[in-house]
Amino acid sequence: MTIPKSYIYRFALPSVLLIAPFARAEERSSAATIVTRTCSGCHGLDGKSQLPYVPRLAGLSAAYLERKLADFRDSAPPPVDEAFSRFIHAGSARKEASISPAANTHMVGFSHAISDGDRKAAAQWYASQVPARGKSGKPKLIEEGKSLFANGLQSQDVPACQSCHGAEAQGTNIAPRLAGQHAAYVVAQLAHFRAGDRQHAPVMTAVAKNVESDQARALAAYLQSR
Amino acid sequence: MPRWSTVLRAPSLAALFVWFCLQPQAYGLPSFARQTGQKCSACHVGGAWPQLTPWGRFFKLSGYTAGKSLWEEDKEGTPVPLGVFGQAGLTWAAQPNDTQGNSVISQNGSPQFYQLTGEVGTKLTNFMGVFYEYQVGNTFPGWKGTSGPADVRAVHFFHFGKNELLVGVDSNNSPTVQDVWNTVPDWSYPFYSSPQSLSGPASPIIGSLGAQSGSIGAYALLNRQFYVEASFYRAATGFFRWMSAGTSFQAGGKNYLEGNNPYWRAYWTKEHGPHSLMIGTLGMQARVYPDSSNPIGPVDTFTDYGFDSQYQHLGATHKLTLRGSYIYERRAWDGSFPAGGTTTPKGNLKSLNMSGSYAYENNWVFHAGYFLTNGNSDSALYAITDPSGNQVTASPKTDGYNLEIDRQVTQNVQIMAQYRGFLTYNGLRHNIDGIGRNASDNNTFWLSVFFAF
Repeated sequence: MTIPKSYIYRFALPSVLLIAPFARAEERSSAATIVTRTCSGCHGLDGKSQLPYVPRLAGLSAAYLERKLADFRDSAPPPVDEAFSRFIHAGSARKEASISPAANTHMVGFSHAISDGDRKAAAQWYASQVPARGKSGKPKLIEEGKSLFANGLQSQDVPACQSCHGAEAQGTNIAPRLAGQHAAYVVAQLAHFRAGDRQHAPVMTAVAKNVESDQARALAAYLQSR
Repeated sequence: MPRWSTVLRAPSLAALFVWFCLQPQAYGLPSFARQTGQKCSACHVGGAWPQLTPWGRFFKLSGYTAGKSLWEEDKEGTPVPLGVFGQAGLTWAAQPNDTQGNSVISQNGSPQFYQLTGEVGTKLTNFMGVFYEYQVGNTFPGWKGTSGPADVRAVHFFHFGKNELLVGVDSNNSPTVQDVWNTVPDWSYPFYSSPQSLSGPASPIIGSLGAQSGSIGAYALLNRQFYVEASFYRAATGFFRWMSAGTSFQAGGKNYLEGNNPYWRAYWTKEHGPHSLMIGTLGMQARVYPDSSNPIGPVDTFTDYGFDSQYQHLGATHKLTLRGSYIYERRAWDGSFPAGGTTTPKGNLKSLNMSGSYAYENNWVFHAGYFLTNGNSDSALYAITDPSGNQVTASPKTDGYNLEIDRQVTQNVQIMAQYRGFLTYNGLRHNIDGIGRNASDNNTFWLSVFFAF
């Protein structure tokens, strides 16, 4: 195949000129830009993540998401130059992130890498997405989870989850939407609360200490099915 | 009686290795880590570069545009878009010398510094990013500075209804360096090899143009599932000279392309929960002057047809990746054959690469791979003769395996232990040089430490 030698030079400049106007237009659309490039690789553009340990964000309240991003922002970012920092900060009282390890790995860094406006835009974007539809699961487990969610367990001092998260697990401004959430993510977060990894949420840290592992799985199965 | 230095060195190295491996929780490019605030494990499976995660693939396809750009300054300052790599280690061969005492694998068992690489990687704007490496490498003997991977991208996302179309323009200096899958020649397993270890006598042209070519191309990704790309490569001179810094075509032995040479790539991929699957094809047609120091006259034409696939299971703790690729190359020696550079006017080369990796959290990564290169025999290209001048073999067939353990000590330090075994070398299992050397005598064990800051 032979094409004129000047093809590349003819092609390069028009390409840049063609793409530039689109790029300028995109610069003005902050929400789409930040979500597409930074968030959607894990959470999906529509907030319905595929990875079971990455939360589904579609339909969560913007206020809650903004607060979570602010929590991440307030945590010390993981050092890029970890090897150096081990020596430099050895023995010092460096502020550690009081959030789950997975969030510390990814979300804290991103929260520091984007602007206040971008964080707000991303929260509003995901709040406006249509929530994920529930997935079926084991009926017996779902029934057990439903009862726990609606009534709690007085014998274990576990309050009814719906009192904060809403009767349909649809979430409120103080507690996130849980309906349709990945079961694996819910189980993992309850374990993090129990372990004291998420100290930004003192209520859940106290509640989760009284939830057994099999009860957490039942709750997660019910919530994923919603 | 062993020398005192050897006696001291072995336990010291063993102790150092154990100390590194017992370090607590360990966590790509340092410049991109600074830009995005991410740990290596966000883009690289198990934190071990260069294997990419789904997010790492998307970050590359979207032009390295996540996070802060070089020009964005806030109260936390501007990210430094620079990084440095270094690699050192030791290589032991099963038989470093042939039966007559001549060195086959040099500096056996001796500590070596392999490379020092500087890199620039940054988002330039919300639609454009760049990645460039310059490597000073140990060439046994001597040191040489050359361009490493270079990749410049401009992208735009179109959203219409529930659909998304990513369109990008790309310029790079090596076919497949722009790819996001670890099945293509530039990024396939083994990801790193000791410069002292041997490889086969032949490889497809699609993986042999690094820092010798420059490209302009365009790609499109629909709904993050269907990808197509078309590029044209030409000799990295003139406009593309910066991409081949350190490469001397005049010294000969390089692949000097004639005109513009097409490259294509297409794949389908799907993510479902923690699973992802890719099935793809790639190829190129390259017209290469037989003598890079004298790029005139008839050229040799190489046409590559490649097929590749990857399955990945990315759990929170356990991460498994299986990869396979096959490249068939048609060769027309219209330049070399008349000049006596080959003994056949046409030929072929086939390359198979299958590998798997298992990563445990972000601490340990285990790799295993099989490789096979085969093709037509050619007495001018592959001939091995014994000391009496008798031809022993003229086959390029070489196959073998790699076994490897990587340990992420911190984000910045990776220890690698790799064993490379040969089943066949130059078409033979035994007596590959006519004086009693076996293919397995070329086996090597490589222990190395990789730094990235």
